[in-house]
Amino acid sequence: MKITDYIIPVLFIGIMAIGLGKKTNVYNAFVKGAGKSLRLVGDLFPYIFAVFLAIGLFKASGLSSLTAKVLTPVLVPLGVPVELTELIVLKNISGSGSLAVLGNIFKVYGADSYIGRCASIIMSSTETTLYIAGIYFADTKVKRIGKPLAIGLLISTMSVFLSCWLCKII
Amino acid sequence: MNIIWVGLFILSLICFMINGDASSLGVMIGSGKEAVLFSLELTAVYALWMGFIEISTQSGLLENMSGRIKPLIDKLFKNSCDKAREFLALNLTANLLGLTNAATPSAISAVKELDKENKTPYPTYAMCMLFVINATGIDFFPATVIALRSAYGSADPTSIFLPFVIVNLINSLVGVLLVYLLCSPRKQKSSDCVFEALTEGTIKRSSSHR
Repeated sequence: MKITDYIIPVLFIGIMAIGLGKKTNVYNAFVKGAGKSLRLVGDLFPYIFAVFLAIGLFKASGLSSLTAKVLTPVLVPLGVPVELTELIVLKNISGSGSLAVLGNIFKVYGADSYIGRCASIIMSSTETTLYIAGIYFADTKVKRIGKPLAIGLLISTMSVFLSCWLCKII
Repeated sequence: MNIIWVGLFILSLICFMINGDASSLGVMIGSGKEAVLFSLELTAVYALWMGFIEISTQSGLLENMSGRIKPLIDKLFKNSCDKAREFLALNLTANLLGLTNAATPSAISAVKELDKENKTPYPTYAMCMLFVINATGIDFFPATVIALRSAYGSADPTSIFLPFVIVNLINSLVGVLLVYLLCSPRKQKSSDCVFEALTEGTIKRSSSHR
């Protein structure tokens, strides 16, 4: 086991030990908390459904590869390899989708190639911005999320260039 | 979100028609099923985390922890609500430990608490900060990607660690800075006031013209 593999067991034991120490009914508390999950996901489900629908259509219709093609002449002169455009388009939208693309990149070019290393860092440096935007503000009065969304996407784009440049140096 | 969603949907459907592909309904149902399965999986993951979060809440661990990093949180999020602070502390901790699955439910709870004091359709400064921090992912260890690298026969799966840390640090710093510069409450208010003053001025002018 690596050090990071110890985080979960140590954390859970610690939380339960502190709970017992403070004379909390740990079992009842756990059950109460776990019960809230069903309602939370129930509230989120329509948003998850809507986002997944759009992502599914985006990928299957060929629009994602079309977008990648359109972006290629912009990205390549800036030092981003052509092979990575699809990953860049998908990574803001779909976690599982971009992970599949990443696996494919590793298979075709090798995980230790320049492209493979670039792809690894691009993939791990930001989250799926659009999905988070859809879920976080789902059950609130907030409807105008343009500004934070723009910042998130800007940073996600910036990290692509950073990753590609850094991989050349390191 | 509205424009993005409708745009993706309509453009994709147009693409289907141009390609002469009749499978759009099948794709939609398929994605819908994926959403249902994903939600079920989320329910299990969140149940586990929310169970342990509830234990930490009832034992006072959460309150204690958020009390300790209170100055940091209040400065970072410009927040003064106690309940929201607990969830913000939880979210930060989960992010730092690389527990994305625990970060999401705490972030949603934090946004809900913050929303109670928000009367506009615009996200507050704290919400913007929370969103950008989570979207840029302050993460110490890219476990999934490293696992995938070793699965595909990388000689040194963790070799991406140094550039990963650098990119991540820059991301988070720029993110926090941008939110600070663009979403600060004082700035927003003053620009609102300017806008109001301008519109009022034009209205008065136009009415005096009449």
